[in-house]
Amino acid sequence: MPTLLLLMTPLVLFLGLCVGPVAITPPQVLSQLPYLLSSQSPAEPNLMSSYAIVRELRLPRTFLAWLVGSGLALSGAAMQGLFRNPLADPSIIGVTSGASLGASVAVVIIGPQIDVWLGLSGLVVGAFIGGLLAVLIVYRLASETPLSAKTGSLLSGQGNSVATMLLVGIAITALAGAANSALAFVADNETLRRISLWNMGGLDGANDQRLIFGVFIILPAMFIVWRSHRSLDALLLGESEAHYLGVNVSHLKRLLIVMVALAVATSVALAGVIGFVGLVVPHLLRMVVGPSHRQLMLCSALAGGILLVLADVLARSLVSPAELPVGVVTAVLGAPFFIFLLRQRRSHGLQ
Amino acid sequence: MLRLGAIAKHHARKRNFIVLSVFLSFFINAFAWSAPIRLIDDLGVEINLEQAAQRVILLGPNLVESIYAIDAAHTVVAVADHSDYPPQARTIPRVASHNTINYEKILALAPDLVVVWASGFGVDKIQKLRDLGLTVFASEPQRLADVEQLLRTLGQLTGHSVSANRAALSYARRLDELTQRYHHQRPVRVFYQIWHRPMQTLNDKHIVNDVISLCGGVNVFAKQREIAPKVTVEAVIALDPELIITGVSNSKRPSWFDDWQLWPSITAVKKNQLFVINADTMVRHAPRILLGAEELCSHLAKARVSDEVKGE
Repeated sequence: MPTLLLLMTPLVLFLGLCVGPVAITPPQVLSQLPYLLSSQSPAEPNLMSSYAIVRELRLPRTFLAWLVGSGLALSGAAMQGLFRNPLADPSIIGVTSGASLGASVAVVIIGPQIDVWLGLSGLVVGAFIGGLLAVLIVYRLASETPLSAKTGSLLSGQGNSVATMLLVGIAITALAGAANSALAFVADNETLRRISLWNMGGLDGANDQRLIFGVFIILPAMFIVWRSHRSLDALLLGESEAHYLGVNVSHLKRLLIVMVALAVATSVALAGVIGFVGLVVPHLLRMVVGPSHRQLMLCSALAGGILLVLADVLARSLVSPAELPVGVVTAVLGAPFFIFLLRQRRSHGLQ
Repeated sequence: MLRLGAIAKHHARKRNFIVLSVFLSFFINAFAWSAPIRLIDDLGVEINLEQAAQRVILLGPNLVESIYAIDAAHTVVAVADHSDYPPQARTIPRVASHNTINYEKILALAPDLVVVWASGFGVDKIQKLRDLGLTVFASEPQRLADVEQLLRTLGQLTGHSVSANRAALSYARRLDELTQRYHHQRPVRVFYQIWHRPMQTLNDKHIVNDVISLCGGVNVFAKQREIAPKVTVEAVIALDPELIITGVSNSKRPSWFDDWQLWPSITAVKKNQLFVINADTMVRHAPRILLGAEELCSHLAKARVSDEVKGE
């Protein structure tokens, strides 16, 4: 399975470079590959305009889609393992809604067009900060519950803190949603439309700065999450069992939450809210490669990347020259599939 | 202010009799203040007023602009947010935001007529106003030509038919002039950008498309299904507009507009035909839209000239 996915990845990425409103044939794109790799622009003027389209528009967009998709799917796999809950997805700890609120605040207060940092717009920075803040609040509240402090027992305290974290995550999500709706009364029509379009997800803002920002945060976070596959396997047995197997459960939790928060806040900031990739892809892969996290997380990352690149290709080409929000495509494909999955649940996967 | 307006109106009325001698205006003028008014609104609902409305609430910035254009602003007791033109309209009390209505404030003002921009607020809110016992005229002008009828209707509703008909005639004449002058010139491909992230434009159901085609332009995204479709830089490259226009509300050239310089393969960029236009004069169904049209038409004319100079 991983080999298959590994082979598919470059093909799908290549497809992403070939599809678009301007007709550029695959052989043409192929002839541009050496230039893309050496980052030199070709000398022939007739090749230059199509090179610019591939290099400046399709390349950052396709790779950002891959990065965001794989980051979300891997995070989903890790969260489902950590919470031992099949309904967990990366947004469960409140990152997505926090980021969404942060973006809205930034759009309403400072305006989205202003580049505040390294060529990143206020919206991106606001979403990133909002997502991290939300997780920080969830994490602090969950780890400071009187229950875990009182019991004195490390394990029962932690058991509570996972449940508490889930609940606090839900509360923060609701709160952020309410604040978001409240902002709608402050914002005018145009700002509102912008926020809602952003909330539906979109990769159209992709450029080199965003891609680099994503690469430097999402990839390391993904790697760190993936390295805890052994501990996540142990955790499948239960928290106390994992503890007796030598897993530092509280350290693991902290690490995973922080890394997933970083990856998801970044991807939400760069591409908007993209549903279902983080939830469905790990389930699908669990049915194929089994519950061992080493394989599961690796395959999820590869498949998530492939899926989002394909979804974005569809989003770009279905109503071309206009485009659909990619979050709509993933939800329309993902929701029926997830329902199908739930019907199959008795025979496969998590109970 | 009010008195000046009244005097001006009086003079205007006199001149109208002499110059136009349109018997229709005579009729309406003679009976405006006494006769009941019966009109069908833009959503097909019959509106009955015992006499011309004296306390009017206007929900929609284009309605406010239009009421000033027919010299009937003194009948207005309240408006919605964003009613910012002409400048003196800013001081009128507000009873609605862009999409919510403060029903209590409206009832407290006891208006005898509420005119609502229907698609801006929605039929549910219009129905609620009617359920509260108010007389509501739902206004839904769509094409450029509908502004003329809007002016006449507002005149009938407020008993200012003479000045309204005059404004409507001058609007129609001006529209006709612009059409004569520009509509049949060489077509120019136009991309009208309303925002950059996400990049959005407008299709042929929007009045901006009307303005573009009035000027002899062709909106490159006219046939999209959505009224404000999301598009990409690449789609713009593929459709190769000769003119790129962005509508912003403060007329200030936004910094993102310079991003187009990265794409010299687009004709508009190559020939430096990128312009900023005041969006308020482009999207509101009010007489001021002809100012926007004039500006846009002159940009199109420039694009045509740049074509001839380069000999292409």
